Amino acid sequence: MHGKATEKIPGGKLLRVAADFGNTITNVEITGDFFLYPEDGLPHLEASLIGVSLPIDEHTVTKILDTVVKQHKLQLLGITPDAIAHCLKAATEEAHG
Amino acid sequence: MAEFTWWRIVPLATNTAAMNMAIDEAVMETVGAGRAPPTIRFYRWKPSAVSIGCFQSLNDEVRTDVATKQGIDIVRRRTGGGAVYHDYDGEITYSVIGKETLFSKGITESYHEICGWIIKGLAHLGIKAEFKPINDIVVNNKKISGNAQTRRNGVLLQHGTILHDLDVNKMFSVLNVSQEKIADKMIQAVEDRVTRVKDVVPQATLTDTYNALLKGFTEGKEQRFALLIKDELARAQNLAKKRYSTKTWTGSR
Repeated sequence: MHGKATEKIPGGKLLRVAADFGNTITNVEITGDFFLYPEDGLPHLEASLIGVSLPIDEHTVTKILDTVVKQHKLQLLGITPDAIAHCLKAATEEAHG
Repeated sequence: MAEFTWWRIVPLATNTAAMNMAIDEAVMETVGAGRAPPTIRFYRWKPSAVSIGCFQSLNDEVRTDVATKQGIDIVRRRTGGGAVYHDYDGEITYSVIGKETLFSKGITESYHEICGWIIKGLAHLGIKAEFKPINDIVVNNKKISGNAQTRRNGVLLQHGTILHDLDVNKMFSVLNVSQEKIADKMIQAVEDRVTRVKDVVPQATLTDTYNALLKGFTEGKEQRFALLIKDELARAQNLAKKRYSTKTWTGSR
């Protein structure tokens, strides 16, 4: 299954999350007009979500992302880990074939 | 190694989209290696081009078919932020490249610092502008300038655009907004959110805008006008060819 969701963060940026999944997440793409330092950190955030089981628990996903942010000393501007979690959940709920 | 005590100002030049982004990267390398002073460059885009942020999805943001038909270039930046339509006659783009230690440590603070130079420049045209976090400059709450920053290997790059004149219809034809949103209502809404130097100072020419920005960026700095060095140009040509003009890079998301 594949799903995609878009969210405009109030006072922040546009976030889109696309996901492939079955019982768990198999691929995630996070795109949008946000800022992330260093930029090479995005693949780490995306990879950390692979294997997360459905239905998505936003709190769990936020915690996973928070850990990656800390581990790689990332700085997000215009989006937040909970916004990504929320958008991922929405993507899985918007799913189609 | 002795640190440079002066800024290099590379005067307004016109390049392709790939070359403009490649020059920024090449200069980041020479600045990082201590072989070039901190640099401010001003440039235009020919052909007119769309640049997208490094995290954006090409197909979500750009109508690539329209761009191809109209001869508009597309390039992916190494900075985050949004899609920008760089009209050859409609805007001036700048880049500031220097060691991180020259700037405020905080990202928002350093945006504010460099955007302050644009605000000073606009003031020379009689335009009262202000910084709007994260990365915009507004006049009467309408955006006149968008900016994007990256930091790599101890070097800060901030580039951004200052709108001089802009054909909103043309911008919409190439940026991927669904057809129904291109109705007059939407364009009106954008006209309410975006402003240009010419809206505030109708008689201003692009040269006037450039000269005002030049003043704003250089006031209080020890500076020399200089061109790019040979190595930078060669490296930029290589990067333009190997990265910025390739489908692999542009379509990587």
